[in-house]
Parts: sequence; structure tokens; C-alpha cells
Amino acid sequence: MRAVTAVAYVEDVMLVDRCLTGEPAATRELFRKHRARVHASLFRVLGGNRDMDDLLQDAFLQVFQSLKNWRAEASLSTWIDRVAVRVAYRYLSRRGRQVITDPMSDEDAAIATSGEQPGARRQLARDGVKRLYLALDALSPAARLAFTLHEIDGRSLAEVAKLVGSSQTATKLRVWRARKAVFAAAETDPVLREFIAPLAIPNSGSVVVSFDTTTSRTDDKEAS
Amino acid sequence: MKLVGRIPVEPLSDERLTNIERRIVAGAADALATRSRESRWGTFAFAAVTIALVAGAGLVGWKLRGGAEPPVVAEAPLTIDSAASATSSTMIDIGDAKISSELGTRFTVTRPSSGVVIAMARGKVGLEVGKRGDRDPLIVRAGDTDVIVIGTQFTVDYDGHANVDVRVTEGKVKIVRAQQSVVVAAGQAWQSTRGTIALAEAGPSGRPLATTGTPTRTADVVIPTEANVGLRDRTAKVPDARTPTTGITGSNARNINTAEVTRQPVPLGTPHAQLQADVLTKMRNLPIQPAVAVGNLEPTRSIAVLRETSLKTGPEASAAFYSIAVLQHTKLGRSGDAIATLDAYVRRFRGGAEYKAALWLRVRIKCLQAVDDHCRQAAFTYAHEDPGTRAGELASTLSTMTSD
Repeated sequence: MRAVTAVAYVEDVMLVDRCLTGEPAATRELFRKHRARVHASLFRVLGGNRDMDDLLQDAFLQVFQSLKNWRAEASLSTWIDRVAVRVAYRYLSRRGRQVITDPMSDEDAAIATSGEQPGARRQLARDGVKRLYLALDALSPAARLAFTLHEIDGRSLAEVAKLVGSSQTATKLRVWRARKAVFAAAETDPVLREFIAPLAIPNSGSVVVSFDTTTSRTDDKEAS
Repeated sequence: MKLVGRIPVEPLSDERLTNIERRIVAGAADALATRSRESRWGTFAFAAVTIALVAGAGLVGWKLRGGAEPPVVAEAPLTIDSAASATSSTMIDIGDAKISSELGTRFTVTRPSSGVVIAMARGKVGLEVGKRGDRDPLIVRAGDTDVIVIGTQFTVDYDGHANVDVRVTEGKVKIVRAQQSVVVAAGQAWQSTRGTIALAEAGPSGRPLATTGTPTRTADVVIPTEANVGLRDRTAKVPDARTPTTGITGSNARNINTAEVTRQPVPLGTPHAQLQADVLTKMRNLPIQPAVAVGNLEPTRSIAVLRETSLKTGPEASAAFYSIAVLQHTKLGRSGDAIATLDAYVRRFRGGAEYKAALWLRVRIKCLQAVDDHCRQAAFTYAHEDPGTRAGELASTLSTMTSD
């Protein structure tokens, strides 16, 4: 495992060096290597929206503009993720928290959620995603980032804290507030309630209990 | 986390990814060029002083000799700053491109990494550029407009302020301005005031320019390359402006072209290119309107309003969906987004009231970018959906056209 990490590290360093010499093939290689992960993270933070192409482009252009500043202390992928998170944060701040969902996203969500989910369940999943992101639009950019990176993108609180550049306690608090806001929205929205059913608890008191349990597990994992 | 894996990520199509990759590769090269310019500022300043001194010495020598005109380009360690004199034109071969410049043109050539940046101050240049392959792009920078060369023959006319006129006679170029990019293919022109138009529509060239030719006499100059910063070297030839060059004759050590070349207007291309340009002009003349009146609202606000309607079902949603694509294309200039919207429309509203119009808009967007497989495919689909109409006939013609 260690050897693989070392190899990956050396490969990253060499790739960055090649990029810095202006080799187009290296630029392409770096983009192809990281585009899927960066796109998935941006998508999970912002939902499907028409600016996704521009955002992905902005993120990588910023990566290449700042590549000379990469000190090889953090892994390249973490560093790139940090740049992407900054791009998402700026986008959310600029848009006044409102993200205009791409008209394509419904269709593609339907395609992506097909498989074993037939008819009504697929529709529910599609509507649920839409309602969830509508609820997230009401959050502050920082809270939305923390919530989506932790709850949807599946990153640990420690990792999220590093990416957004704040303390783990502040990140935990933001996630908690965001969850509270999502559950509050779910109380008046049966579709959202149904979608987050595995998380949903009938009253807000239980929500807190649920959150505490979840974060404790995460923290235990991180500690171990 | 219970939501992990429950939000499916909408995949990006290969076409979108390829477009993003191209823009990133070009942008990364540009970023590197900017950095190189910044980091080599001291050397650049030294080079500029050297140019001024050598040019001054040349001018003094010419005055003493009583010659006709001073040499137009002097030796420079990093850059060439070529200002054509009042009565002559220049032809420079920098190895991977031939640059001809018209009267009173001023531009600077730099070589960041393996690319070439030709920064114009004013005037008109004509270029013949070979395929770049994996090398960094050749970029002609006219004010805030970048013309990124894919391997082609074209002219750039820049008045030194805001007006840029690009005419492509072979191959294709990409133009980047205000973070928007457009590909201009052979038979097309792009003007900063009008966008992409057919070459025939662009009107006569203000200053006709011969893009190939052999200067009467040449003077050696060192073209800036990595050699000047420790890599490799190149020598190019420029005309000695002391000899009139209206009818260009003679020989050149690098530009082996013995035929006499006189100044010609920019050619409109082959009959095929002309036919293509005509079809595209006719296509452009067919009006495109949103299916829903949007009044005087800002396009982004209109789209936000229409989006609410588009989430419903039925004719209202169909009209709104189509209108979003029209606004994205015509008002925001976001053709990629418009294509994505139209693709989604075609999937969702097959047979809807705006179905044919959506197919036509796809043809228009794709074919105005380039007459390639995407264009022909869209045109073929439309021609079969709407035969016998004017648009259908244009699409039918486009579907059988060969590549640029």
C-alpha cells in the first residue's frame, strides 16, 4: 500500500513537472486523470446545472494557473479538490445561493437511476433529488459545501474541514445545521420526506439524535 | 452516510468532455505564456532596448548612406517587433508558420514553450500554419481576442482598438474572446462586431493581402526561440524594405517560391467552399425566434422563468424548453448549452410543437461551427423530418457536403 502511494506520489510530481514545461500531452493527462472525480464532486455539491461545463473548465484552468504553487506536501488530488471546492464556493456566492438546474438533469437522472428501479420509484428518486437541491439552495454556501461533501460525496468531516479550510468543529456544526434545514423542509414536502426516508425521523428532536449517532460513527472511524 | 450513492452523477458526453479538454489545454498554454512573459520581463526589457539601439543604428547608417528606407526588422534576442514601413509589406518565415504583414502593421512574436504567440498592436497579418500536432498552439492575439490556430491559412485584421476581422481560407481556427470561444472554418469569417459569418458575407477586405510570396531581398533576423534561453535556434528571412515590393519577385533562402506574386485580394476559396458559404448564409438568414414571448427581460431572467414552465408537461413546457435553447444560443452565445438543451428537448418532446424547430436549431448551431460529421448528422435528421421546406432543402444540401 505504501509502495503504491509512493509510486503515485512520484508520478504526480513528474506529471506536474511536465505540465509546468508546457507539454500539452501532460495537461491532457492530468485533466483526464482527475476530471471524473472533480466533476462528481462539483455535481454533488451543486446538482446538475447548465454551468457545469464552465465550472469544470474553470476548476482545471485554476489548477493549471496555480500548479507552480503545489508544494507536493498534500496529495495532488486533494490539492485539486481544494481548488474545485473554491470554484464551487465562489459560484454559490455569486449566484446568491440559487443554482439554476440544467433542464437535462431530469432526463439524465432518470437514466442514471434506471436499473432496478421501475416507474414510480424512479420518478420519486428524480423528484427527490430535485427537491433536495431546492432545499439546499436556501443554505449558506459554506453550509451547503460542508453538507454535500460530507453527506452526499461521502467525505469524512476531517477531509471536508481540510477542503473548505475551516476547523472540524465548525464543519460539524455546519453539517448539523444543514441537516436540520433539510429535515425542516422535508416536514412540509412529502416527496423530499420520502426521498430522505432512510434518514428521516418524525420530529426534529430525533433528527439531532440521528445526526449525533452518524457523526460519532464517522469520528470513530477517523480516530481508528 | 445514507445519501451517498443516492444522487446519480449526470455523466458528461464525450463531445462535451473533448470541448472542455481543448479549452483547458489552450488555457493552460496561455497561462504558461503569461507566466513566462512575467518571469522574463527583465530579459524582455533588455531585448526591447537592444532592438531600439540596433534599429537606431540602422536608421543612422541609412541616413548616412542616403538609402530609401530603414530596415523593418532588427536582430533581437527574444522577440521580434516588426512594424512594416509605410510603403512595403513583409514576409517572415518562423519555421512553423509564414507570416505576411500589410502596410503599417505592428506585431510581436514570442515563443512560450513550444507555442507561438503573435501579439498584434495594429494592422493586418496573413498566416500559413502547418499542423501543430502535439506542439502548443499558435495564437494570434488582437486586443482581447485570441485566434488559436489549428493548422490553416487565414488573415487577421486589427484596427488597434476593438475591431477584429478574421477570414479563414483553409483549415480552421478557434477564436477566444471574453471567455467565449468559436471555431471558424474555411469559407467563414469572424468579425468582432458580427460574430461568425460566411466569407462571402464579410465584404471586401479593406487591405488586400498576399499570404504567400517571395520577397525581393531579404535580411537575416534571429527569430526568438528557446535557443535564446538555452534551447534551439531558427533563422528567418524578412524583406529588405529598401527595395519596392509591390510586385514581389526574387528568391528567398527559406521561402522557395519563384513565381511572381502580386498583391491579391483574400481568395474566397474553391467553388465548393463558395457553395458551402452560400448555404450557410441562407441558413443564417432564416429567422430563429423563441416560442414564448419573453419581452424585455434579461436573457438569464427569461431562462429562469421559462425553466419553471419547462419542468411541467405538455405544449407549454415544450415551448418553454425550446425557447430556453433559443435564448442560450442567440442571446447568451452559449451554443454548447443550447445543444445540450436541444438534445434533452428532442428526447423529452419527440413530436412536440417545436420538435422540428429544435432539430433545425441544432443544424444551425452545429453547421455554423463547422461542416463536419456532427453538422451532417444533424442536417440529415432534420432533412428527413421536414422534407420539401426551404430549411429542409438546405439541410439536405448540408448533409451531403464534404468536410471543410
